[in-house]
Amino acid sequence: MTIQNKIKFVVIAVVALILTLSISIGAYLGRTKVGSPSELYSLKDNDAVPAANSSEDDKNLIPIRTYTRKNCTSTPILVADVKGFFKEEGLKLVFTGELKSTEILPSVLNGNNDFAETHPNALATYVAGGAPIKAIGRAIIEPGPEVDPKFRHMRWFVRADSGIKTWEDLKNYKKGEKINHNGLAPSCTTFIASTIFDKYGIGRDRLNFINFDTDQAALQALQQGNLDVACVHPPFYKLAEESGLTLIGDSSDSGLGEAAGLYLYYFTEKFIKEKPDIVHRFARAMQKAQVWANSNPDEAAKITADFIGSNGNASHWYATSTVIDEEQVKPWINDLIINGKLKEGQIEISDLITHQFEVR
Amino acid sequence: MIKQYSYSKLARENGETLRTFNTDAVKNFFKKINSFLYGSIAIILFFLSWEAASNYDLLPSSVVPPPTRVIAALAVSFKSGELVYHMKISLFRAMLGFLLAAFISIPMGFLLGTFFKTFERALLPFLRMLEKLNPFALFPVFMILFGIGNVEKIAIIFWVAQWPLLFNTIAGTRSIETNMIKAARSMGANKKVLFFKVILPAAVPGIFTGVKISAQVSFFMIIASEMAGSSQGLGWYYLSSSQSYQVPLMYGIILFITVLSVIINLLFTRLEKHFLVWKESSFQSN
Repeated sequence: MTIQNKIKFVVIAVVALILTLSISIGAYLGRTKVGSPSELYSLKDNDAVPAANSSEDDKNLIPIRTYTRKNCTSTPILVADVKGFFKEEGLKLVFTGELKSTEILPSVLNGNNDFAETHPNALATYVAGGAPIKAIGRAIIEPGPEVDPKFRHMRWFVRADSGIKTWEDLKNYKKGEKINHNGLAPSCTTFIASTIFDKYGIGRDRLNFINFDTDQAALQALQQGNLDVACVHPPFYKLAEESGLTLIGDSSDSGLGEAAGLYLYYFTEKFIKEKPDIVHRFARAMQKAQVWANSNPDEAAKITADFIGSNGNASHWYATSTVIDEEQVKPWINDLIINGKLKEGQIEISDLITHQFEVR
Repeated sequence: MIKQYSYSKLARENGETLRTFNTDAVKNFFKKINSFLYGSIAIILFFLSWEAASNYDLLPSSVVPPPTRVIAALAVSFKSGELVYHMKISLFRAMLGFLLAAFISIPMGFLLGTFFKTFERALLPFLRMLEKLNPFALFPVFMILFGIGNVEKIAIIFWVAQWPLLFNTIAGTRSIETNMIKAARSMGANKKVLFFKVILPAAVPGIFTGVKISAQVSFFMIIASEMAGSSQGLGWYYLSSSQSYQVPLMYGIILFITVLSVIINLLFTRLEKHFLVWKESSFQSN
């Protein structure tokens, strides 16, 4: 080897070493942050939310893992963490990182996360597809008429120049043509919209569901005339109103009562069998958090907004008992049968839920 | 006597040629089979390991079903016509966007690479900058400009397909040796002859590199673009099966998209070979 070649070799080796070190350090510094929401929140150096789980006692707490939520479904979990309801039950919530909706179930099945939540129709397709999971309690529900309508599950908007003011107006809108609506079946958006369209005699066959990543993208498409109707969740109600869109109705118009917002916590059957005590503690913590969130909606909304970085009201209304009423699950399953996603009798409600951990 | 001898000699020689040809053809056939089987070993092993891993619970079958279930789900979808319906939509959109890009970018590449070199020097940094814009980030812009539907999807494909075509055509025209052009001119070739007999054949390899890359990118991007702001096409079909937790079908669609992609690549490789032969013959006829 000549001297020049030797120098070349040394330079290449040094550069390779520096690159390897840089990549390793970068990967370490940029890794997904894992911790309880209050811990993650304190990382932002903001003392608006008290860090409930910061004492030495934390070491004795049992970790319970779930994916990081940055949407309207996160309130009861954040409340349970920040207000110490998990700690009271000897649990410590661990947020393991944000996931896409299609990645949530696999993360529970492979044990990276202990629990997640979803609507009954998605749960039914998971179970029909062979996922060994069961729902243990309720999270979101549709509030009754006595509660402020801002807590209802979803709202529907149209363009101000569309001439539509109510659901009835949609009957004669674009007669003989499809009505473009956001959503990807099966989801809460497609189920509740189909139920409302049937109820008002517009007919679910007129719905053409177009998929969007977010409710915000759907609102944008509505403003541009690419959609006829857009259905959004909180915190996008405010944005829709500020954009001059016309509100035509909400999820209570489906006539399904509490079922119109039904959202269920689920664990794997293996986890339930091996650690029933943890599931019990979790159910109790969530029940307390949900009662608290309903009683303190402004503070609950602030906790959520601070964590997800949104200014709007991102809260829903929550079940104050985690008891699952099977009658509320049925319409979600029937919709799947109507749409051909499930066959009649393919799934029984007992395949989806367990009443073992209900807290009244 | 002499004639008879000549005929029999000729017949003997022809027979030998035929025999040699037959032997060569058989040899080539077996060589191809051998090469195909040799190249398939890794693929077959992959599917066998996947099947075994799923059947022996090394993989959770509710998340990763065995390939036999995946293929069965794909067959059901094919039989129902759903798979073909979505494939037709995706291929139509990808093909139209790609063809539009080819009709505009290849002539533009020729013009910039040959007659408008100064203009090309001034424009190239800007075009390179446009090429580097992330197409995924541009989806909302296309939605605003073209609305939701076929026009928007075709516009996205046109956008991503045009750059490899344009830059490779420019590179192809640049690779022509000036001596060759000078020689052709000195032999009295007019502009038409110069273009069709010298410039175009010499630029073909560059153009086809662009064509192959563009075709692949077009198919890749159509699947990605159909995952948002869509209600049909293979990208949407994949997302819909994923949302309904039809896991075998979901993997089946992934597999189907992969096979389609390989077929597209093979088609363009064959087309490239055909045109390279044309390039050789074009030079030889000169």
